[in-house]
Amino acid sequence: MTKETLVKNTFQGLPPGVCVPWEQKEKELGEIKGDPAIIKKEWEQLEAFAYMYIWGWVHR
Amino acid sequence: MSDDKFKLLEERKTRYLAAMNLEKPDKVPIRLMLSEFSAKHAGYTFQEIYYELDKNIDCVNKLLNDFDLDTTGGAPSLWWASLHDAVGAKYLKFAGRELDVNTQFQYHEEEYMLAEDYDAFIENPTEWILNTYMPRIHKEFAEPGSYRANVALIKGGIGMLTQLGANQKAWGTWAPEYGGVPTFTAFSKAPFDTLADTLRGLSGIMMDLYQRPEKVKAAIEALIPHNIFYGMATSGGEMEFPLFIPLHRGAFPFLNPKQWKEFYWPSLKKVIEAFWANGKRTLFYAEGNWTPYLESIAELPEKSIVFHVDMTDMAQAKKILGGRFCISGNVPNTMLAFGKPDEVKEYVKRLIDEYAADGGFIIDAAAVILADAKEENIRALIEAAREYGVY
Repeated sequence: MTKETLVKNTFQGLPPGVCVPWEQKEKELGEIKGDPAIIKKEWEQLEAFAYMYIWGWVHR
Repeated sequence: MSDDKFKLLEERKTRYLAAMNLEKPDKVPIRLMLSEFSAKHAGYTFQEIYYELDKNIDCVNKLLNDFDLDTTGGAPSLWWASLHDAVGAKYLKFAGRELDVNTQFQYHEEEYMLAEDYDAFIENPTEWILNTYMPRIHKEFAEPGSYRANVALIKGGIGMLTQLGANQKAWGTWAPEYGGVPTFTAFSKAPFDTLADTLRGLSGIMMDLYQRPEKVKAAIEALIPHNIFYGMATSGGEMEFPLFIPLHRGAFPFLNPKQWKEFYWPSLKKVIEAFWANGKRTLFYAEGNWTPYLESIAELPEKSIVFHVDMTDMAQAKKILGGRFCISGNVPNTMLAFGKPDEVKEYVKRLIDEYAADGGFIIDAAAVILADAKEENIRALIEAAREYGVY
């Protein structure tokens, strides 16, 4: 292992199940014409899948 | 589902749940963690079960057809070698590629997390794992953002979902067609083990305990909510069957008792208590010897764990934990590999006579059963459990 691969974090202190927080994504989306709760729910569901994939390589 | 299979499923489930709830079921439940043994039994090479999901799953069909097991732990190979090849995972070596076709998979331990990584890990472990750890353990990710890395990331995600889907589909067969009951339905780790197994490795963590103990504690503290989330997420809302935690570095004497109480136990206790508060029991799979720690383990909420005995003193476990937690174990794997059926039967009879009379007991081998176990000894274990294990 070498130090060259060290990468600075983009986010600090993300809670479990989160990779890119909805609050960040919501800002980037701008105006939401429909129900934001639907978009948030779906975003967070796929977030959790990505999170589980990432952690699946550690929990052995 | 035929009526007889439904009846069998209900009998086994009731038996298993009763034992875990410290009740006396009709019989002592038989719960064997049959791993590579099941490949040998089914006539497959290790390469076949590591690489081909259908053959990995078919091993369980054959087990459930041929043995009277109250529960099954699912497909024998947890790790799909094809998925590991897709991302170039270098920490596991598999039969048929780096190893002979019938050699047990091997874990190649290194310090995949450096001592210098602690601060970034503590700040945001999820991001650190993706950005720093995964390129280190996955050869295909050597150049993040490259074509090879992007393809590998896509294949990795699809591969993991493919494996999960195949296992889920298999349970749609094992339960109705064979009366198969799951041994566990979720998975997590002790926070110390998460740090000490795949991240810092044994040599790394042992140095850290002396050179940077506060960093170790901070990293473990950061891991607690993640390990709770991972366990509850893998349960998928299923609450009857336990969550499996294979316990590694907490066995005596990896750590001395002072280190165990300072670094290992507080975070594990919090994780188990959180599972229990959420309605999920833990299968406390205590690999190795945990005798010095039984008094601490007794602090856990009543019935919140099934304490599995490998090399822990069974008499002490019964004395200190009996009546508080279900106990399982512990026919020695060496006996299953090198002993004779009569010896196995005698051992099972003694276990049942001395430890099962009050209920709250599950018969099992001491550890996961690999290909060195003889089939006649597995059959002897089951026969003896059925002969002597009737309440």
